[in-house]
Amino acid sequence: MRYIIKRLLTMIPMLLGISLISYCLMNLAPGDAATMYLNPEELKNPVSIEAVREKLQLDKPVMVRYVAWLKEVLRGNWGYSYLSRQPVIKEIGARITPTIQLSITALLLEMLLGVGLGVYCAKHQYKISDHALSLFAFVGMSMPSFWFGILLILFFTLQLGWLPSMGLVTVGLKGSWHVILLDRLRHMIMPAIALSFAGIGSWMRYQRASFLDVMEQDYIRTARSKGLKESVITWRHTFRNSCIPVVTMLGGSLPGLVSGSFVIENMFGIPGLGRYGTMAVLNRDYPVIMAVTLFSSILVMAGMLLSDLLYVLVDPRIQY
Amino acid sequence: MKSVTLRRFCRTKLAVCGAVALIALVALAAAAPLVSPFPYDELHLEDLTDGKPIPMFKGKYLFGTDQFGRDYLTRCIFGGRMSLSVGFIAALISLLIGIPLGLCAGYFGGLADMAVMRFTELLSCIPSFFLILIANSVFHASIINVMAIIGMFSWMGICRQSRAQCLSLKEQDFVQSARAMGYSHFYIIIRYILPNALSPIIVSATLNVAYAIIVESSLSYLGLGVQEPTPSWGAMLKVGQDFLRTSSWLAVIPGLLILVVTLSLNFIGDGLRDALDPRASR
Repeated sequence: MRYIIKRLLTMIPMLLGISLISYCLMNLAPGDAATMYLNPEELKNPVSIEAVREKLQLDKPVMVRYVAWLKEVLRGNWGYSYLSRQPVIKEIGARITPTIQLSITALLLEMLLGVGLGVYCAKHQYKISDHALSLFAFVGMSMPSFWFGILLILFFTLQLGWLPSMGLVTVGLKGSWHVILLDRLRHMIMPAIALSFAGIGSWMRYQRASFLDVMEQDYIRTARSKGLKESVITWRHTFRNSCIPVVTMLGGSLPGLVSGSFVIENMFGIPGLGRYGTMAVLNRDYPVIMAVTLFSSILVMAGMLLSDLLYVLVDPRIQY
Repeated sequence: MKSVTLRRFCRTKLAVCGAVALIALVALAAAAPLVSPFPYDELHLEDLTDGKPIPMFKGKYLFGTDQFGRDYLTRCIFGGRMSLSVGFIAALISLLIGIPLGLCAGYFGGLADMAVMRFTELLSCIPSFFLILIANSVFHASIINVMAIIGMFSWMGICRQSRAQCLSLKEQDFVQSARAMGYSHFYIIIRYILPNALSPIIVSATLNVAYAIIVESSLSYLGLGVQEPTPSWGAMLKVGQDFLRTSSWLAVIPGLLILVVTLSLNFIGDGLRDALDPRASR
């Protein structure tokens, strides 16, 4: 418990650092955010540009603005989007769920398929299926996710017409809860596969190596000489021990998933954090960019903390 | 590279295939103006029927044309020029930042180590692609800026690895004796630590090239990287996606090229890892 509190406390200076870096980076921009704030009519009037600049405090030095921004955020005010003039926090709230849903679905896919196939490979070491699957893992790790997404759309949407390629839900669909759930799943499956394909490969290779490593340990030989059933040796003795190093992959794969969702959400038209962030970057929507950076970093950090805790759970030898 | 390493490397078939494919593509990209059948921005609007791209293997266009009648094979070759140079130069930049920082942090320890490692940790917590996206929108979208930005935000792994190598090397006898001889810190790092720390770093550098190529094409795919009419594989994919229903090869070919390059790099990295591992007896 004390460990968790300590970890949570170290997140505070980290978040401060992250916000400072991204705030400074953003403000290196030569363009003028005030021009994004106004509509074309108002832009003709230099007085109104000046007024906006004053209102958004764009005339002050960067550090002064950063401190002012920070004060507001600490009071719970994340500011207003320059583009939609809505409170940022409200917009983020609506968009963070699809991103979390997508990341978790992709993570589960990665873990289940990666670990399963990895164990299969290790059990069939140097057989033809092992070689084929290893090649598959390499292809997965090298595949640009957006191209894989395009291929999926090409095949499943355009050729076969099985799955929808855009959005999160069918607009105007009504029905009982399982119809809605099925519809959501149908929309989620292609983006999740595209996002997780790279991860499946690396999980697989890691699990395979770890499983082979454990298989050579003395306690496995002991178990075998005791005459235990092969399935007990595989699952109870080897598999459970081989998972310990693999769990560390969990924390490492999260930044990749969140990064990946920036592209995948744009491609499949999912209204999540990534798409919102990309739009904000394209439109120089400073308050939104800051909020998206911080929230996605929080997602990554929370995931890492979670995987560290899970590590303790799997390996009783570790104590904090 | 030592001949033993080379011999070990050649024993892994996939790595050799990767190396051959990569060298072929690099050579093709380097000789782009000589080998490509047309200039990359030459329009052949007169050959198009109702403004539709010409399909593959038709007439004088091996890979067909895009919607403006520009020869697609030429654009693929020139696109490779962009993507490959971004990949290699960005990886080089990440090495130039990551190795010195990591080695210094590991060698000097203390405050320098803490400062560098905290900063590295900080940058790794922000989803790197979003960081690159922000930086890219800040600076004028040009090929040089894209290379610099990708390099500037992908050195963290290299830095961590150099530090770890340095930490274990600096305790070894040959470094200790070099210190006893009174060599300067700088000389010891360059002459004794760097050469011995290099092999795992080379492996990561290969993977960094693949990462940089994927990031560049993602940026171009989102319309933020290399700008028209200069071709790049990512930008070509984006255009191809709009014609997916009628002319799917426009999206398939550039993606396939990216895959071939990144796959080759992964094979090479894997082969190098085995070949450079001193514990391997093969």
